[in-house]
Amino acid sequence: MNLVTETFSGFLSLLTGLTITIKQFFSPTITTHYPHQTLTIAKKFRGHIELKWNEETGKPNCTACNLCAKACPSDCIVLDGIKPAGEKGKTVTSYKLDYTLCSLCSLCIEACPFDAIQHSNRYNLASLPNQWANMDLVQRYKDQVTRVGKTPYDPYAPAAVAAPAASPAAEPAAAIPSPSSSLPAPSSQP
Amino acid sequence: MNIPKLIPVGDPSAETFTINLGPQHPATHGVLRVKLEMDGEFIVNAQPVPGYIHRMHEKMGENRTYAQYLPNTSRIDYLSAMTYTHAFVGAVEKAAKIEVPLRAEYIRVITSELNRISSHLVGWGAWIMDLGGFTPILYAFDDREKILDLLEAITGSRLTYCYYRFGGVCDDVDQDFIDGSKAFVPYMRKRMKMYKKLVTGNIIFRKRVEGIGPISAEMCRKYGACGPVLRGSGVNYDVRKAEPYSIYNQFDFDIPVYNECDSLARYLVRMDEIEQSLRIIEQACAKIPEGPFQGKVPRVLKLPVGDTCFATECGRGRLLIRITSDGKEEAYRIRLRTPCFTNLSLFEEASQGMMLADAISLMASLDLVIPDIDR
Amino acid sequence: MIESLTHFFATPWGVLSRSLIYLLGICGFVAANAAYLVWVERKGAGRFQRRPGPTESGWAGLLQPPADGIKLLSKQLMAPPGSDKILFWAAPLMVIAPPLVCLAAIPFGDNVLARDLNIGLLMVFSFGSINVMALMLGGWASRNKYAIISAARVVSQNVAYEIPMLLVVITMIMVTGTLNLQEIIVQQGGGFWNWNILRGIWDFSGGGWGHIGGNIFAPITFLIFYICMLAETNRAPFDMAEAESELVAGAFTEYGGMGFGVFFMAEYANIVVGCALATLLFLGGWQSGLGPWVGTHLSSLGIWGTLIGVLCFFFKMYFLIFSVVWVRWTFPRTQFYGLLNLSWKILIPLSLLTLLLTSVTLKLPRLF
Repeated sequence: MNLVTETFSGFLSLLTGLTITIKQFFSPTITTHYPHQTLTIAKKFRGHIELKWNEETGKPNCTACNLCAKACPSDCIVLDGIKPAGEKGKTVTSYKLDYTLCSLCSLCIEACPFDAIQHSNRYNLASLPNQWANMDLVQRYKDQVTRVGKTPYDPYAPAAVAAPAASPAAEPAAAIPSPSSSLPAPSSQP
Repeated sequence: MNIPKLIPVGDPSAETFTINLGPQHPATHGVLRVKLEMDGEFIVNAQPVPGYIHRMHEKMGENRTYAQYLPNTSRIDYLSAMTYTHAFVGAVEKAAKIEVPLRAEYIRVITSELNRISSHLVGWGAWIMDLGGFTPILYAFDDREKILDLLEAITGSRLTYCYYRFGGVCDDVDQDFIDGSKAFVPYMRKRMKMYKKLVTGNIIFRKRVEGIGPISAEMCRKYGACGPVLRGSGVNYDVRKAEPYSIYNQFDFDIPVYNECDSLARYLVRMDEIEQSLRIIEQACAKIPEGPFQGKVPRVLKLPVGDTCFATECGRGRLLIRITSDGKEEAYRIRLRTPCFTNLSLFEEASQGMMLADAISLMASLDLVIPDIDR
Repeated sequence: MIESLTHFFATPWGVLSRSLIYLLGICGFVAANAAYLVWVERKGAGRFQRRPGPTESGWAGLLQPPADGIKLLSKQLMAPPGSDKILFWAAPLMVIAPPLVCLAAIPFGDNVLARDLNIGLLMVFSFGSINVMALMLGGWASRNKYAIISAARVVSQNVAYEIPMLLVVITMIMVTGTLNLQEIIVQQGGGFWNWNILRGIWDFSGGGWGHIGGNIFAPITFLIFYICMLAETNRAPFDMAEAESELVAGAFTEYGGMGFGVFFMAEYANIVVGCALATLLFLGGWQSGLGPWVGTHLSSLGIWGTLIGVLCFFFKMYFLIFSVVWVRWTFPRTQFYGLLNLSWKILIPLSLLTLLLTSVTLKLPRLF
């Protein structure tokens, strides 16, 4: 008798399972048909780091103090900077990121006392490893600034570059560079 | 129904052959090699050979400052990244006597429980996939997408979050996250009802797990098993109740315990744990206070000389982190006592005499993540 | 024009050309089904899992099967060293031939069948049993101990499920009284209540109020037949033999390229044959089910009637094939002993019971 009831209830459980899957069959798909469709990426998405653009001064906030390189657990960052003639502090001239080692932990961003770096939102990078092993963030910064029609700051010739169109020397401490949404995200860059 | 078991008759050195289970697996277990000595269909001896993904996490702890070790903690068991990081920051805070503000504790609890649910969903889906049902894992991943989207909005990562810091969390949560978590609870409850009808009640599934892989409480004690494996064998031990940490003692939740000791018991423990996690999230989202999200941490963090231990309940069991410090910026030794290592060690004894497909079902019920075994 | 065609087909040349047309037609039908049932399965699997399935190759992924076919054709055909070459290459041939032959006796429409055999049902089942032997040959000739273990399992599974299948078919033969497939379908004419799945409960075919049908368990008989068909074709949830590949490889491990492709095609061809049989034994074959308005012989309505019959048959058959896909993607696999338990302990007693009851109910009116 046990076998009969078990068979019967077992068969009913199978029918229940079938009704569930057929309901799912007629529901819309939940996939996003990449690349025909894309999703909006979260604002706080952790892509590789990039230099922020200070609208006020037109140059990156980075002073090549190396605190980010010291904070990094994987030793990804190699910096260099010079002290331009007539300026008070150093300015970064070369910022190389080894993205093949980076674990996106944000410790560098938290270590930076000048708020010079931020996460980009590049989620769909695909390139050869030697391109990632030597990401040139200063070049990226220069490309981004050029794309908005400004002239990038050149630390080797500070006097030649005028401050960009934004109001210069108003309140240097008050204006904090706006997040990455102020610079257009490049769609195809190595 | 009688489950076939090998009855050893006559000469124990009868002809057996050796085959390898792994290290390449079609299932999501990871790189684990199990050397099986088989007598026809039945397993005579199963010997796990771990170490294929040994990444020296404990050694890395000796070469990095405490803050620099944070990304490592997420990668030991990538499915329970939040709870593992919780153990590590808890240990450091305990040693250095760092205060954690209440809002940060609430955020930690909510994110840890969301992480626990997503980890159980993967374990559940992968188990059914091992048994041949390829559909429930995709439904589980659909639910998991919602959790991952919530966590991505506040942390920026989807799997290996480096979100907790000493003294709190690295960034505050906004109202969207709280509303999203509140809305997730009834949605997940509806889905759990559907999974109960689709899988738990299904007779084919029941025949594959009922009575399979009995692990007695005595065997668990011998090998040091923990987590759902232990609670499925009738032992009521959960770190959140037995050694309460963070603010878990302020929430009202139960510990599911089943006495049958078979794979079905472990399955039901995990399903009920998802429900209990939803309860905790509900209560935490209702009570979360305003305030700072990170406490004061000295710029150069050095722990006092000596040992500090901290245990948390992760999706797979009890993780214990012991930090031995000699007063420097880097730890002298970080010892990770991971749950999957001890859970796997009982596989050798538990699988003796079982048929192979039943042994695979047993291994899936242990819910192993191999990087957790090898660290 | 129809009359001149009928005259032509009566001549010897006509008989030969009719056979050739049917031969090519069946081969084409099986090939198209084997290829595009893969597409149906993949799209169906995707939809059950809330994803779209193949979309990129061709519109809606319709060029995916030709792409897979080209990939399989381009691989090297290699037999493992030390294996029995003749048996190794004979196995795929023996596995694809039976479904082709069985389809010769299956009526797709009113008088649309290759050969109207009086023992059509017997022929279908006798050829259908050959593929078990072919799988065993394939496993044995591979000279691979895992393949032979899997092949042995397949054989025991198929033998166990052939018994209840044949028992229910015998039950249906007792009800219909004939082995001629065309006859069986004609008997189910006149309305869907006359289909064998319902006719067992109440039979209107005698006119008037009708009388108790031959087989009061007819829906359960259909269910048993369906389950046995799933097990015979090694489909989930009974695909232990091929899914053993989670650990060891299945019976087809040593076959690469098109050798494997043929086994794959044969599986889908077997599904087609099984569902076609289920349709015509239980669901009325090409009968439209619309009752007395169209009559029992659709060809009496001319060429359009025959076409409607063919369409009805395809509709029912493809619905059953969809349900096979549906069942596969819903349930996990049974354990091997569970599979055999189901057959020996549940299905065989049940089918013997229906056989006994059917014979009693058929005999009872004669006694009084």
